[in-house]
Amino acid sequence: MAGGGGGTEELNLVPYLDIMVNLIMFMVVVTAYLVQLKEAPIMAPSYGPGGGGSSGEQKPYLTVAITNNAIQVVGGGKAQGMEQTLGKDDYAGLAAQLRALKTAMPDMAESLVVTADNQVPYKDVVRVMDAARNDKAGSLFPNITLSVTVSK
Amino acid sequence: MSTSETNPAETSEGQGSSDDDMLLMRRRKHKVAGANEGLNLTAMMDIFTIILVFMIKQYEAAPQNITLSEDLTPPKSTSEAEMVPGVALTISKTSILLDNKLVVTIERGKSVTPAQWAVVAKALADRRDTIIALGDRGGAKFTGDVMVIADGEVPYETLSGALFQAGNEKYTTYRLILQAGGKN
Repeated sequence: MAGGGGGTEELNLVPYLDIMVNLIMFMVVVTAYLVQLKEAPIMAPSYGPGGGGSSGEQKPYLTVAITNNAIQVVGGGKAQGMEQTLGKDDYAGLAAQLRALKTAMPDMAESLVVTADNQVPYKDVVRVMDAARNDKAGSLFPNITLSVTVSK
Repeated sequence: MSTSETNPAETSEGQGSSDDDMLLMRRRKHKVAGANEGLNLTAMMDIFTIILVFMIKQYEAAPQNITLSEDLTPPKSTSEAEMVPGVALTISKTSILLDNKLVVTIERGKSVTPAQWAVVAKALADRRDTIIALGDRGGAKFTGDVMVIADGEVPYETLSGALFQAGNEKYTTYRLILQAGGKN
């Protein structure tokens, strides 16, 4: 009789279910606090004048220099001599400026040199990179090179 | 009193006994019916198991999980490129780490000294040599990829210095690791 009763008993899943529910709740909470990370590939940094060289034969290219109180867009190659200064946090203006320059010079190099003063915070560099990479109209300068010296 | 007359005590006992039997039978019937109608947990178990496995796999899929702190909060960016794993060079406000191992401690607000950069360069070289040695024994090959995970307030000279040291030690591909979510 006792043996027959044991045959009809089912596995008690309730404790196992409790463990599963707790595990799932834990993972949901942990996942909520995980930061979603992305990456921004950059070209190798270089020492020396941004963009390397001042030959008038080169394709036009741009260097964006971030100082403690301004953002400067400086031309190189065929765009040598071009220089424009924007406000420190004028990222929208920077994107508009870069778009205008790229439209004006269709043979403009796809790469952009970004450089900054020594004490400029990294987050400001990233914001400039974001503004330079693309705007509402599409891609601007997808290849960004970080340089060490600050263009004046 | 005739003999056919029943003893009231017996009658009540007999009735009581039959009532008990009835009640027992009802209880048995109810118990059996209840057992059959109970909540079936097996399907719920299946669902929970699938959800758990899915979440564990999703957690594993993240190539690098970092714990944000006051000293290490990467800036937010509009970049949408997915992370590719590589050697992790972490620059917080107070330290530089390579693959989560402390290399140098930086004094708050001060620049990294040349001696400290030499320590960072040695750590990068050692890590490169280890990866190359592992690659020779069948492990993953050295690709020269380095992920730079830096705090948003780190000065540019520290960032560019770290990249320069990495470049000197034959790391050729740099990836800035940033928080998704647009503007700061």
